Amino acid sequence: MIARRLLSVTGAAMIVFGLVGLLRHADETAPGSWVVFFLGGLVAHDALLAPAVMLLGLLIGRAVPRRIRPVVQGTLLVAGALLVIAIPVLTGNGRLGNNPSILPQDYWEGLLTALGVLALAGVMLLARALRHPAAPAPPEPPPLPTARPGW
Amino acid sequence: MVLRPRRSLSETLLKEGAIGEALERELGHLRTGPFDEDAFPSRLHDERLASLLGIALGVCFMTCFATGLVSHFAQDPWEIGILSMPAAPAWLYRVTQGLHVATGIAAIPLLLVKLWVVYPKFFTWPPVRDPAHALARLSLVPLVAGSIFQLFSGLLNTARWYPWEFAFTATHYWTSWIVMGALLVHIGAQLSIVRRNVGRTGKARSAAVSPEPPGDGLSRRGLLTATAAAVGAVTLTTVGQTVRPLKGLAVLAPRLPDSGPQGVPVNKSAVGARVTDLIRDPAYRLTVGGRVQRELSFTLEELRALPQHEADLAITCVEGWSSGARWSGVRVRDLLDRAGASPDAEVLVTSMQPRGAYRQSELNVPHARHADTLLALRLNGEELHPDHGFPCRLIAPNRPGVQQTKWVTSLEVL
Repeated sequence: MIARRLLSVTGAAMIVFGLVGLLRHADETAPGSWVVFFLGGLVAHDALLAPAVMLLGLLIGRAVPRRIRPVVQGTLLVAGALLVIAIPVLTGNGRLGNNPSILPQDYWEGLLTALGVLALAGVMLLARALRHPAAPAPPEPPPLPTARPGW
Repeated sequence: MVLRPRRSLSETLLKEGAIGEALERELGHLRTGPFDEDAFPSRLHDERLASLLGIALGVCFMTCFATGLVSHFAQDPWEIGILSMPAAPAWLYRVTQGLHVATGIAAIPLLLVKLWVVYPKFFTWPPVRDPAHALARLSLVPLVAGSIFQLFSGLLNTARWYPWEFAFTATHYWTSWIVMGALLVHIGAQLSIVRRNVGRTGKARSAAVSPEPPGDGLSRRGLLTATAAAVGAVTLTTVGQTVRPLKGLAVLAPRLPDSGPQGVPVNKSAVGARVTDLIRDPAYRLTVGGRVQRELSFTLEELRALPQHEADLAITCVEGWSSGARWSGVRVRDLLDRAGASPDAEVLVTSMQPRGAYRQSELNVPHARHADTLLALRLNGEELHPDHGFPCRLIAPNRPGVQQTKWVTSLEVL
């Protein structure tokens, strides 16, 4: 309990310190633009990315046979991570005509190569998974409770 | 018989403070969709997973924060001697800043998986139980928004993509205090959950060795393995920008340590700094002035005639790339001694660059006196390329690249 209080108080003080610093240096930190990107990232994740991934998970649950499902899910997770960190270099927004040492590579080629290697690893894991017999299906879940009145 | 009238919602809220009960009574029939108990059937929305991923993220964030502070104070030192950047070991800043960026990139898959694991909690029912619960939920806004903001603004900065209006470094610095503060609050709030799920002693043991929850698809262990693989993949495809032996794998790195004029990357080119005409001016002089016994002035030929020294030093950028090279030129301390400057003087180095935040830098005493601190004239055996600072540039050990001033025209002893 003491640890919890200590962490909360220190944390709250750091949050206030950061906010005050942001506002005191408003000429550099452009708080209007900061708020847009600060909350924009949260909304983009919670309202777009997460539901999309949940839906994808649902589809995989329906479409992919149980035996190979873990391999498919794991491979897609790694592919997603690669794709996310590749987006800024893929757009090429940072390129400068007078400085070719910035973003010197063909990043589409790089991403496809990385995904290709990943796919190869996925196929090997898939082959291994298929050699093992399927695990017995888990028991049916208990039936859903009856709907609440009011609907 | 007179019945007491049923309390209204507002009365309940005011009298009991049990907001959750009131919400459940009044709005419970609306509970549906993602708010349903079994809306998220995966067995991976699990306390133990959330705890383990949280610990990994915590370690990453602490690492980023500590190394970020090193970089901040290297660029913006406090006026206290003990807190100014040492000149040795030469590799220190290269390691801390490389670690800063690599850890931040590694934290991206960790954060996304962790948020996925706890996402159902976003739809907790009732949405608010009591004021403490409301506060706890509200405190997640700076934590989650801040984590996403820090990791992705940092990632965009390494690719030099600036879709916003704020200055990156200052904003990234101040926001880090908000995120770390929110993280401490969060750790405090979740400590008991972590304790009962992770560890090898007492009660925790039973949880740690508890069998996988039943279900389909990835197991807990499988998800952790896949997450580790994702961390490995994003690291291997980028870290070669600072770890040269892994350069061949760095297919997604925004920089390559040997891609650039004379095999060294450049942040600001001569064209970008608008110095292409100035550096070719035959009237070029390097001046040593300020608090000196005699002011000095050198042409480029005179600089070349002075005793030359070599140093193997890395250009280390705040954006996470670094590139080692062999530099040769005149020792700064030799120039200061010739001018009769005090041995405990600091030095302001100024570029020909007409404007820009990094046209000047300061050398503290350890850097000014270090034998490897050079006004370099040559790079890897060739005359400096204009993009590397021709006619001469500062190169010193253990220093951010933006402070290795290029196109130097004056040293001013402070």
